[in-house]
Amino acid sequence: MSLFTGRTILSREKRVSTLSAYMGTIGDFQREAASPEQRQRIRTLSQARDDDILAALELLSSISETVTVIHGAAGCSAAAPGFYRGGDAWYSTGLNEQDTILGGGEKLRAVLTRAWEEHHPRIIFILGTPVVAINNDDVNSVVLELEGELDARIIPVMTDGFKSKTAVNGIDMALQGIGRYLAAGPARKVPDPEPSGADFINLITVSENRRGVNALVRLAEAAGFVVNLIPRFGSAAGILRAGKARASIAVNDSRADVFLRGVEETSGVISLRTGTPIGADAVSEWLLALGKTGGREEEVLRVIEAEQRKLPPGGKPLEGRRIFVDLPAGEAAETALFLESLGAEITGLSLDFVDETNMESLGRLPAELLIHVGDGQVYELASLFSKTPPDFYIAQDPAWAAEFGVIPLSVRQLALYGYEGAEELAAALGRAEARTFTDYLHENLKSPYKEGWLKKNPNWHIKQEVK
Amino acid sequence: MRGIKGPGPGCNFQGALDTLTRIEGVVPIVHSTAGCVIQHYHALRAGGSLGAFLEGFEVPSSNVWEKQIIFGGASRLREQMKNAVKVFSGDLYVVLPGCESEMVGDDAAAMTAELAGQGAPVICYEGAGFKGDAYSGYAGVTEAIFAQLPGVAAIPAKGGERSVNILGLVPGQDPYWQGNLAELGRIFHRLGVRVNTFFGSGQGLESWKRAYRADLTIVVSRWGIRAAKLLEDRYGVPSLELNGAFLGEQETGSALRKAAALLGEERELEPFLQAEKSRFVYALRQIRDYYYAHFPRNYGIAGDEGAILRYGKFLGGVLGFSLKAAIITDAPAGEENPRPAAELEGLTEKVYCSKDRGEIAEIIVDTRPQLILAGAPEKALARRLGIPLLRVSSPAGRMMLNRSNLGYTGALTVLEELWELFVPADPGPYPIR
Repeated sequence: MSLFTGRTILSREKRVSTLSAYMGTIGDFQREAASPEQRQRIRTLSQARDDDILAALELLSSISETVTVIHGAAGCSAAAPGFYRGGDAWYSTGLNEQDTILGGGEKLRAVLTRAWEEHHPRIIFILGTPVVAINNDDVNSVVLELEGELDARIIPVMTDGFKSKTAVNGIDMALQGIGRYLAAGPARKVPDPEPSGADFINLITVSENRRGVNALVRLAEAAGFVVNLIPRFGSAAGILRAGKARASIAVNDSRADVFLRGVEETSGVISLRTGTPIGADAVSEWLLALGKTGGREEEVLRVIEAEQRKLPPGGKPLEGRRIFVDLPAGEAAETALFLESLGAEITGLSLDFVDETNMESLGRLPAELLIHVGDGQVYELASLFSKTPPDFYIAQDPAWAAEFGVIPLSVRQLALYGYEGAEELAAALGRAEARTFTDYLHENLKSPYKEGWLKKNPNWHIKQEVK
Repeated sequence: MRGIKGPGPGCNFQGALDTLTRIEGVVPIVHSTAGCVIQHYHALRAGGSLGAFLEGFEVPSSNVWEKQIIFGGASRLREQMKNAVKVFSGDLYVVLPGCESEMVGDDAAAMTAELAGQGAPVICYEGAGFKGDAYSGYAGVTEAIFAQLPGVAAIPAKGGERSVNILGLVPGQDPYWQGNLAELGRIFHRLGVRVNTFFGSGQGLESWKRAYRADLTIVVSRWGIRAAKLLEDRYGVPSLELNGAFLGEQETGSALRKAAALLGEERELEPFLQAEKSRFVYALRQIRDYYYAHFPRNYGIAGDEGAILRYGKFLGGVLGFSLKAAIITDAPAGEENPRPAAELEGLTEKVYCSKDRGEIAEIIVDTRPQLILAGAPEKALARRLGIPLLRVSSPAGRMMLNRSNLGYTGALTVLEELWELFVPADPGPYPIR
């Protein structure tokens, strides 16, 4: 059975042995991973983190011609306004206490109908939540009944918040749901999008920001590629096109893994596996891989040369700077290598998960480099920073580090990818060195952690799981 | 039964979490699946309203997974609680179970009692998300704190200083909460009393401990009634309900006189009331030309009942605006046809109750006011209709550290905001503030 034909897929942990708790060196981790007895780890104290529902919702929210119905209590859709940025292509079934006893099928039916009447989408995604999973609500009957009545594909993405310990599982489930649409085809005829029959490549995006994606699209188009951007920032029509692409390439292979493999299995579209395109060298490698497959090596070389001419002269502007990077594994590894090329010392990485799909990205880094595996869990980083503070902490939401005198650098608004992403990151580090505000916060904000904890080993609460 | 379109006021759990993360020194210990706290974090971040102590990824959460759903999560909770009190520096720890732990029957109250018995200042609020919305979460957790705090912390005896409590201003749902609590503190302080506002800077756990010996509780919305009733029934603290609080010198003066009479503190009040009135009149002299040339004459509002009352009496009673449609977004969950406050029915042609953004939009389209007071979700609608929008309801998408929309200072803020919406030479086709 291919990835795109089943109703769902196995959890990330079961498919690719995903680890969500670890602290040690890359070398130690690799040795353990190579042994047959690699053990899962758990935390005996944890802080809040993203779950599969949030990851799936963030991805689905960016696909046009679709609507998402979050089937659960009102709070399970609280994040939606931020993801949809004022858009209204989402609903909640708003289950209450009575529904947890009697089931929410009627409400689901009513909301699906409303979503169709108000938006006429091509796809209605149903996002599952813990209450529905625990109750084992029969969503499939509702879908079967309504798909005949409503002129849309209704695709359940039955996240649940607890079967996996990693948020990326939600991306996997959303991608599998999107792939089911590709495999099943549209409920009603979709006009053939322009340019019809053109030679194009799929650029697979899942959780990147718009600026970063645009930077890569510009590079690919400059080399003469027609880019089918899917699924993030894509459309239902674009998803259907994916099966006719010349090749697929992702921004982050590990996160896009399910879609890359699924499109290859279903439609024979080859997947190009590369590193994450951060830093000039990695971007060039990414483009070269694209060029070889697309038969556009010369065009790609011209683009690379032109872009590299624009880059500032070499040198080690970050000589002596100690930097800790907290990003997904592919991004973290390439960012680390790029910053090292500028003279920085990388003191450690924090990754949300490690597994068979992204371990290789750590392979080019020094074996003695510290890795912290855990989505968030900043109390452990706080303990680490209170003992050996880096100069900079790069992350999506790094502000807490200022309490420890470490300069936070947020990547929220940075492109990160492509040549312009590399330039932006280097420039942002340069600007961040004005540490007046960080010093003020360090002097005046009190850390929420007890002194006793800050003196302890940061991996104190990471234990091997006993089955 | 059409589901919810657009953001409603969150769930009961999130209301409780909103409340707790705005009390300095309080550490919530969440017992739920992983995403609950982060759903809340994304909502607040988009709305411009993060907490100032622990927030988002910092909040301890047991992040229960499948094993604990099948076999129960009590031991995971016990371990999480025990370790959280060792790692997080808090004056009070509040265990907050979510939907899943309630459905599988984890006895959080028993776990909490066990740890409290070992000397930790820890209490529990069992307010799963499906039990209501964010307003009911505020009501429930404030009641739970007042009910359980004496069991884990020493409550000071009544001293010579007099004090009043302010309850019913829901910090997670009132975008102006910081400025409003500051204004309430400033106003009531004139009665020679200390004011316990419970949230925000300088109002940590000590203000909650003082509450039991207060001389009066001012209840500014229905959501403060449960906690106020507990203080009255068990600790003899009388309460004064001022639904919607007050905005402008007339209503504020009236409220102060009532409170002063109850406290027996009428000394030197009139000079203060007169000075504040003069301040407002001074502002009106600067506004009057704009009022007659630019200001609207009618409006529609979507927000909680308290805010609607407050704006209704000021915009109607002082500025003479007519209220074309009032859409109450905090009607108690489960009430099919909630009855709005009697005062509200006298202020407007039509009162609606809805949390659904689609329905709210339809009502506004039907009534076509000259000004919309609502939230950030109404931006697209305002743009489409070309009607100025003032975002006074959550999620507002505004960062407000010091603005008020009640009392005396709030009236000045309203005048400023109306000016910014209606007067600038090139406000654009759909001015939004």
